[in-house]
Order: sequence, then C-alpha cells, then structure tokens
Amino acid sequence: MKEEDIRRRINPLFPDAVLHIYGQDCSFELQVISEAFAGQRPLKRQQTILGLFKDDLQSGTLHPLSVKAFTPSEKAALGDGLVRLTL
Amino acid sequence: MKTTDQIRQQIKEHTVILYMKGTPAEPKCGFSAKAVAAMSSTGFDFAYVDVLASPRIKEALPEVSDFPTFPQLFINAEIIGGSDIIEAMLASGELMSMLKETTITQ
Repeated sequence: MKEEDIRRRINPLFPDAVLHIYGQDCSFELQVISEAFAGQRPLKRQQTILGLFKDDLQSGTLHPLSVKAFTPSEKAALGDGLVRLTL
Repeated sequence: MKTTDQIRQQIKEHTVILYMKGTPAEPKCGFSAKAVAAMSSTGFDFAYVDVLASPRIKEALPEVSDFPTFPQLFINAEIIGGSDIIEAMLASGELMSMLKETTITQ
C-alpha cells in the first residue's frame, strides 16, 4: 500500500483531517487530526479508522497499522513542536 | 457452535480476556507483548487466546468486536481496545480501577 492509497481511503470520511503518515509497504503509523473525533472515546476513533482498512488488516496487506486520532485542540495540547519519535 | 458464538461465550465466561498473537510467556508480536506487559503490571489474572494458534478465532473476532487488529482486550464482555488504548488506560489509572471494579462484582 502507498501513502496515497491511505489518504484516498480516509479523505471521504474525514475531509477536514490533517494526516501524517509514516512508514511504507505494509507497515504504517497514522496520525489523523480531525474535529470529527470530538466527544469520541479512543476506542471509537480507532474502530472508525481501522475499519476503513479491515480487509487489508485481515489479509496481512497491512501489518502493523498503528492509528493515533486527535482533535486539533488535543493535538495542540500535546506540545509545542517537540515530537517524541517512536518509529 | 459458530465461531462468533464461541467467542461471545469466551468473553462472557472470562471477565478479563486478551486475544493476542502468541502467549504471555512468548508473545509473537510487539503489540501483543506491550499489552501483556501492561496487563501483567496490574497484578490481576487474565485469560488469553493465542489467535495464531487458532486462525478461526482470528478471522471471526473482528466481526464480534468491530476492531480489526490484535491484541484485543475484553473486560466484562466489552471490547476495551488494542495495545495503544491498554497502555493509555494503564497510565491514566483507568485500567486499574476498571479491573478492581470487575473483581468486586465477580
């Protein structure tokens, strides 16, 4: 899978989303920042995003796919540009 | 019994159950290893299913939980989430209080 494929999958449902995609081939880490997550628990957020890739996750085309979903204000509260590298 | 029914029975019979790749002693994926480490640090017992040893369950579980990746933690027959969520809930103390509550009502 390519970054573009991931964007194309997420855009229709989250047109406002800021997407950060790290990784290649079958292994990706996504950060999805959208107002649509407001009021949603982390589980619900992950179910929605991961659900878009259900078949790829089942078949192994994607593994692993790690998703972090924030609202813009949550993302802003995380820090002042300092990014902890987890890859 | 249908596999989805078998899973529903498992999560009903075991208050705390982790569906993972490998076993707690020998996790076969970094995310399952993280989940086991978080759960073990609580000191509470939990049941587990090695989905690699049971492809049938691995295939059917996402249908029950509406969650397509592994590991998956269930408490009181309710999907809690995967390793990210388990670790976040451990850090916030939410996991501990949920487990304490669960054992009281058992």
